[in-house]
Amino acid sequence: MNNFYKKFHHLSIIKKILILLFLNSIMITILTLSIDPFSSWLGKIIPLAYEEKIFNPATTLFLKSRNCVNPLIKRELKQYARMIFPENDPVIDKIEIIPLRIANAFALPGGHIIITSKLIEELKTAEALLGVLAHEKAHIELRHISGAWIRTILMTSLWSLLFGDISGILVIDPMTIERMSNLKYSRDLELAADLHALGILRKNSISPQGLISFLEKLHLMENSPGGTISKIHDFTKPLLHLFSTHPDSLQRANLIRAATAKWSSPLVTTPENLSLENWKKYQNLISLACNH
Amino acid sequence: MSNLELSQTKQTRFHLSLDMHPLEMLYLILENIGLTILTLGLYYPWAYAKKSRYLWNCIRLNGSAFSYHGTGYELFVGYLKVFIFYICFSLVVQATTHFISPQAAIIPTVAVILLFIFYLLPAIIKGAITFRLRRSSWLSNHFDFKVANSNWFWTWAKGIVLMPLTLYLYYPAFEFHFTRLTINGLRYKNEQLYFQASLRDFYRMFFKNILFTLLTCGLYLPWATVNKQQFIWAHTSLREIKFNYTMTGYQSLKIHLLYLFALPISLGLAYPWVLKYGLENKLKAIHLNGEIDLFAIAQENSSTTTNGASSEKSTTPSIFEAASRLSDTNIDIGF
Repeated sequence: MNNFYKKFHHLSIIKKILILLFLNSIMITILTLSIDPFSSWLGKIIPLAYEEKIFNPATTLFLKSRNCVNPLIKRELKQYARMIFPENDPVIDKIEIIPLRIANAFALPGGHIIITSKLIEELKTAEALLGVLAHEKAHIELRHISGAWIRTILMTSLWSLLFGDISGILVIDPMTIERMSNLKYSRDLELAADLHALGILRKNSISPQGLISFLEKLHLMENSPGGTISKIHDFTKPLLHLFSTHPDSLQRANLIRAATAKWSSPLVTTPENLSLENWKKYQNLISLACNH
Repeated sequence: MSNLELSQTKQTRFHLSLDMHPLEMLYLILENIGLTILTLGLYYPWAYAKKSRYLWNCIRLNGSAFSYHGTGYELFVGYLKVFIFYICFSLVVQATTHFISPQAAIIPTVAVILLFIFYLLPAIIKGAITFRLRRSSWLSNHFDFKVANSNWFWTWAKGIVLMPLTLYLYYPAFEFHFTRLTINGLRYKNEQLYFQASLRDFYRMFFKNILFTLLTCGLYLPWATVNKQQFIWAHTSLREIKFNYTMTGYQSLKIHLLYLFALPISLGLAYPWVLKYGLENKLKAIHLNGEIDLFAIAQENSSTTTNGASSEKSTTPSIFEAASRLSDTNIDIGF
């Protein structure tokens, strides 16, 4: 080792730079590639209760003034949730509907699932709601939130340590690359959650057609005049996939469709409480309660 | 000191220069990155000290190099203290959430945010400037930073409160008072730097910059930056020495463009060359004019020990330097 060190120091500066460049590239590549599986592994080890404890102040504050459901809505929501969640799953009590004019659903730390009132309005069937719930359940089961949280900490620390000194004086911050890699990770998690959700739906005999239809509708909404994607200039559209937290909705729908095509027989669900009539009634209830 | 240097007494012109070899700098950066990865980040304070030592040593005033004396170990202790502070704060929030209620955790959080805005942030800025200056020297004499705490914290708190109340019309005044305090606090041995300017002129320069930047959709920004620096240098003095800054907006634009294009194209490898170009031009643009014997000042009743260590070294906690780096507080002390 000592001999190697002596030999290295006698090399010309160009050779030393080339050797260091090579070694650093290998180390950075190994480190960066190992962060994703390491964060996912560590995320799964952290108990959900601990995750809830850490983020509870923020989650409580977020939900405090935004809940618009009455006991009746809550009871029916639980009934829907029980079709894909085990009877005693504590997550069932943590599903909330918030009054928001943006169609969205997301999982919060500690196993909370939030659905916006606008999303309920946009979902054509209860099957689609179960598809959305299964997707958020997948995020919780796969421990994506704690995994992403750990990954952000590790990646930010790594990039700050390596390039922090330079970032202050650069016009293009190298941390941007780190943020973009976080977005890529986020998109990967969404696709993983879609595939896992498919397994949940299949296990509970719920057809994924509702979820597919909703994702296709979402794609049309985003691209229709006035939609989020339609507002983006054509020139920058090819770059959109680099800066988005979610993959393209149509791509997701196609992925789910391709995965279900491999199934031996198509899955059809028609339990009574998934009837269209019941769903419309439920939508009206939520509209009255949340959209005053 | 050589005879040649001693003969430079009572000079009327002084010049700053940069004697940096980009390849050496690149080697240093790559070595720092490698060791930081291998030690899982523990080497970072040593890497920072090494880079600072190299950079300060490359800057020369009339041929004599500046020095940086900060060590990796003291910076490491600083980072450790910031880390312990953060852990303590997290524990207080967790304990409040657990034993009282989640809503009660807002109290320590808000208390720390207020403490950070009104006390910690100005303390970090002041401490970091003091740390950097006390660890820097020219001809074995250390720089220093002396500002009365009452002035420093009052100016800060007044600014933080008045800016939103005046719809940020107070911002130029805040910047003016803070610049004056900072420059007047700078010391080389017992010599004090002075910033003497009228607030009205500063406002005039500031609003002219804003107006032209808006009218040109931001293209005037390099000129605006230079205007401000020129204003500050032109109103700064050290005994009989007057400073002036001759960088032009066009030169500043060239430096910005170089950062913008050369670094991404070279995947960051051009950083030492770009840094050299920018720093060299900035240093060349700083002129010191006046009849003064800086070398004689350097030799007067030296307060430093033979190894260049200041007696005040131990009184400057490195925690502020570590906190300023962690909180991304931008501290620009001239270069």
